[in-house]
Amino acid sequence: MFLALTEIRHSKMRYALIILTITLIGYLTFILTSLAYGLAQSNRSAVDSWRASSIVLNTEADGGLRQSSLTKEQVDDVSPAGADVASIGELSAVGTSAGDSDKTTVDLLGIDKDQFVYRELNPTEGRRFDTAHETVADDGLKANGYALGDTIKVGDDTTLTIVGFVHNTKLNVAPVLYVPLETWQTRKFGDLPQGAPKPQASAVIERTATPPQTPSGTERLGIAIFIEKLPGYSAQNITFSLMIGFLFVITLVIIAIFQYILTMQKIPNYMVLKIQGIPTWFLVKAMLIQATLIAIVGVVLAAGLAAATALAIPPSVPMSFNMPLLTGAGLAIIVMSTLGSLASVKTIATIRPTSIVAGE
Amino acid sequence: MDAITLEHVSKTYGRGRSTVKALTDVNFSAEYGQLVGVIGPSGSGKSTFLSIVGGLLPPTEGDISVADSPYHDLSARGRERLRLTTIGFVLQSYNLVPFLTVRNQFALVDKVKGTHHMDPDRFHGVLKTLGIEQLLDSYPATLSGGQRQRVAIARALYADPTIILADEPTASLDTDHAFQVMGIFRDLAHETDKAIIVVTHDTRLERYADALYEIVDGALSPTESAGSHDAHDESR
Repeated sequence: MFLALTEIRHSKMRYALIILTITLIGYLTFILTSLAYGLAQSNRSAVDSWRASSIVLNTEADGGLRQSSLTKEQVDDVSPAGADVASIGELSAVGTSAGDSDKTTVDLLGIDKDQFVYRELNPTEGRRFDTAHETVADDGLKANGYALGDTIKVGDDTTLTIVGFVHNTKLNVAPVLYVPLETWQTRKFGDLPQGAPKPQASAVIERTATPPQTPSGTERLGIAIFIEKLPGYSAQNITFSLMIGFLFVITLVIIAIFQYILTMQKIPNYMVLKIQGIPTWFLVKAMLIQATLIAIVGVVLAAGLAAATALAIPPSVPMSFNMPLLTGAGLAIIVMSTLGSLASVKTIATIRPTSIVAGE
Repeated sequence: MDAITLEHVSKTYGRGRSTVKALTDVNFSAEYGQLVGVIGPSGSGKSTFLSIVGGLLPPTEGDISVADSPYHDLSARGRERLRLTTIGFVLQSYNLVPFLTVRNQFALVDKVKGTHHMDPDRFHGVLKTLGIEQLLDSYPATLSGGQRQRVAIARALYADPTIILADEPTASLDTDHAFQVMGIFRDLAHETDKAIIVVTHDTRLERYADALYEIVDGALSPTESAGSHDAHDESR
């Protein structure tokens, strides 16, 4: 620590530049991680809020909620008496504010008032819906100017009154509007010819450790698999993961290069120290401590910048700062910096102090 | 007892047709309390001699003993340890770590060894003798050549070695400072009972040595010892 700190104090500008580089990489990593997490959340937060273990969809839907529809018989077969299940009806729509002044993509979710999704709706403002023309909305709609009591028009003929807001409830990046299942059925299918089968729901979600046999024409997916199949979810996550992974590799390479250059510049110093009998392990330890210290300082500064950014960004930007995730990212940068400096260990170990004895 | 002894020491570099014999059958000894000069021109093998005596290089043949304990077959780590505890170096240049203050040049020894190495009173006495008390918070880059060499001597002494090796210690100094440094070496050897070996090409410094060797083309041979009385008066 002694050697590491005294050298940093002596060459402040040099190490300030290295710290600045790590700060910028760390800041970019934190912002990308938060963006990735925020986008992931905006895809799946509604599904997470259900706390279901599995979901039953139409076999033809290939795991897609939007493409699935279940008949009443199928829903009844999935839901034997006493089972903890809930029907979900999904419809992507465009919501229009009063006066047709603002259009927003929304996701209509029809739910049954006798089932757990409705029972567990916990509005942060207002109350749960009671009638067919009421809705509980994601509070993200407040950014579009909506407030309790406002109306939102879905399609040409469905006007809903917002009676409650719930926090962070989105599906496929769109704010959710919870409505009665019957409202969803009417909105999606309208008036069907007499005798035509009327789909009961898009899917049935379950909370059970021992799910019953799936009815004919349906398939059961674990909730994690269903989330992976949300449109664009997997591709988005892989893309961000690759970008962030490359940032870690870049950190390692940059620190390795910096440390190598610094080591080469300090070869005469290392020769003096070795001639004085300072052991190689002491010198290597000092170098590793130095690399770790500058990485820690860089990461802390990056965290500060990220925190300031969090305060400044508008709510419409899908960023979510998850502390465990960001802590892990910060630690990864520190580890990569330390590992990068290992590239210089061999150089230090093989320095021949005889070279500075006169004449050689 | 001799502080350091070399018996039939040779050093060869390379193999076959590219073999170079840097040292040939060298026999050498230095006693405690003695300043020994090794004089030779450039390319005579002085650096190789010093590197082997200081444990920076192993000999190809021969035996080396420090205080009657053999160390020619010590591992690199063992020789490193010897340089930390028993052998001090004063070089022509690159003596000091540029990012450590004078004070921290000494503190580093304590950090490595985990303990204070020299008695504080004695240490301050050494600083006073060398005239560098006021320089403790200075960086090497702010010191003159003579000041740097005196700090280097203090640094070499701080670990309290029994043997000090000085490689062309006066090469970058003017005449007055050169004689001053040699006078300090002579006094240290006599007063602190250390064996100090100075390797140089400067024949003017012969007069300070208690014993002299000449090295030419890798062959070392003793010459007549020089008395130090005249040199003492001259350096004042």
